[in-house]
Amino acid sequence: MIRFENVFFSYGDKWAVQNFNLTIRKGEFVALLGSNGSGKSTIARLANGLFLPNKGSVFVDGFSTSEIGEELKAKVGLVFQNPDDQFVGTTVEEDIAFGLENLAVEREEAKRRILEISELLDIGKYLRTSPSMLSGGEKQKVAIAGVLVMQPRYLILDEITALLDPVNRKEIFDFVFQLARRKNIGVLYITHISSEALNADKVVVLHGGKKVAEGIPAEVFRNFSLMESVGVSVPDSFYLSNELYKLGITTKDVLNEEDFLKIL
Amino acid sequence: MIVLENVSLTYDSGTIFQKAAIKNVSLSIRKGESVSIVGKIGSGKSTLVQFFNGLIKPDSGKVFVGGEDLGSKETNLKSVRRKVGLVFQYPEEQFFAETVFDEVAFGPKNMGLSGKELKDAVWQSLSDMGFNPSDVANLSPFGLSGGEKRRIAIASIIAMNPEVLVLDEPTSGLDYTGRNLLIEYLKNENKKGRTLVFVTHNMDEALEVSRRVIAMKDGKKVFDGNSEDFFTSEELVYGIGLDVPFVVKVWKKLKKRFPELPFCRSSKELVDFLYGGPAR
Repeated sequence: MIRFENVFFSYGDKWAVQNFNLTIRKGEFVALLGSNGSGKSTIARLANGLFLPNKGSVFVDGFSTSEIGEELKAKVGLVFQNPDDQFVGTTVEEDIAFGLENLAVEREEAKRRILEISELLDIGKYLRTSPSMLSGGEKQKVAIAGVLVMQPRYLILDEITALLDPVNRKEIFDFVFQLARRKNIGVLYITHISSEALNADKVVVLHGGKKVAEGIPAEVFRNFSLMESVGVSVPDSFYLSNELYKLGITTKDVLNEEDFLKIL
Repeated sequence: MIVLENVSLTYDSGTIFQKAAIKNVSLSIRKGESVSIVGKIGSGKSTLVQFFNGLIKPDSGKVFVGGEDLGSKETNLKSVRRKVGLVFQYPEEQFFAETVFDEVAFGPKNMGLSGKELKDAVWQSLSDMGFNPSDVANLSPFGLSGGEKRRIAIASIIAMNPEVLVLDEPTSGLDYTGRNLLIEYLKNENKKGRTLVFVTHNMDEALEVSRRVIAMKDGKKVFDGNSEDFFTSEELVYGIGLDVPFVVKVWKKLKKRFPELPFCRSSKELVDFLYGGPAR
């Protein structure tokens, strides 16, 4: 498990994260929401030791991030919003292989993993292509593949669908959601798109570096006034479902888009 | 106001990277209209809007702004760019000034504004973007949060008071509050008469902001018309690789039960109507 214990982090004299506590268990999908500047991306960087707390601790499977080596850090895979900022290889294959080379994984094993992951993400045909020639969705798949080949136990995904169009967004989201379930990977999924948090096991809301809500999606999103006050949108399906239920147009208050359309 | 006639453009022509970005597109945007240009990533929408102020020139076809042919040597492109303000994707990546004031003042200063007139233009545009101008004017734009930077970048374009405001994915990466502020600003500006071109792959926003939609696919214009017609044609929307806004899906279902329900452009509008409020 990843465990944040009373974590504080500052940029200069300004606290970006204050007294933050959270656990992410293996196989658990945790959505982290919050407005711009609320501290979400700082939390992402604290989770794998890229940043170290000023106060408090972050533990990965029992080891403090201030003490763990590269190998354990690789068990917490981090993917950012803009894949263009993350490419290091001249071909897709080189790019995916980069992390494995750093971990000194044997050549044959590296090749096997690259083939397996690239097939899974349907980017096998691009292995000898330059990442710059790919579309936005394909680039993000390459960035995800580069992390998955390291066989992470946890994934920290920082607004990975923000630059994608609706079809690519859904494809990437569904892929990571189902993969995490299948492979028992713990996920911290950072997003502005609240509807992506509807299927999460747990939703956490940050505001001004502090946790202001934590719970199952239905509990968290039901607090409309809090969500409004911290600049987090309530998913359309939940808002409409709630209002139509209050109006007596529907007989059930549901969370998901599909469920809601079914009862209409 | 803006007219494109049979415009085509190929990138890296004659090389192995050759790509037809725009294929024989004609369109006309009238003064005071609000038009959303939608399409998947790589469909040509960002390229298309760069014709609007002469930033790129077509290989073939003609572009007119306010009746002036942008391909003509006599056309003053500087004055065209004052008329058509273009906010790029990630405009904050082009910041260069040491203070927010200097960043926002750069455009109007180049237009000849100075003294009180310049300060008023900067103050007004910062205030339009939700800032208290005196709080931010002396700050470094580089030290602001991502959402704040985006709003400063948009302020620097609106400070020039362009007749046409063209924005390429302006809400990408903005949070709920920043997005709402910008969407409301754009809707109000259009109501006041400013021509608006809004490039987006967010269908909810296209629906909310514009009555007219131009849809692009593989460099071709595949739809140009009323946004209600567009978003209620599921086959068309899905065929372009886009999604029907959730509120339209709900509206379609409810319309069967409430035939008097007018077309709704946002969840709030739908709920207001159902409560009997002044939604429209």
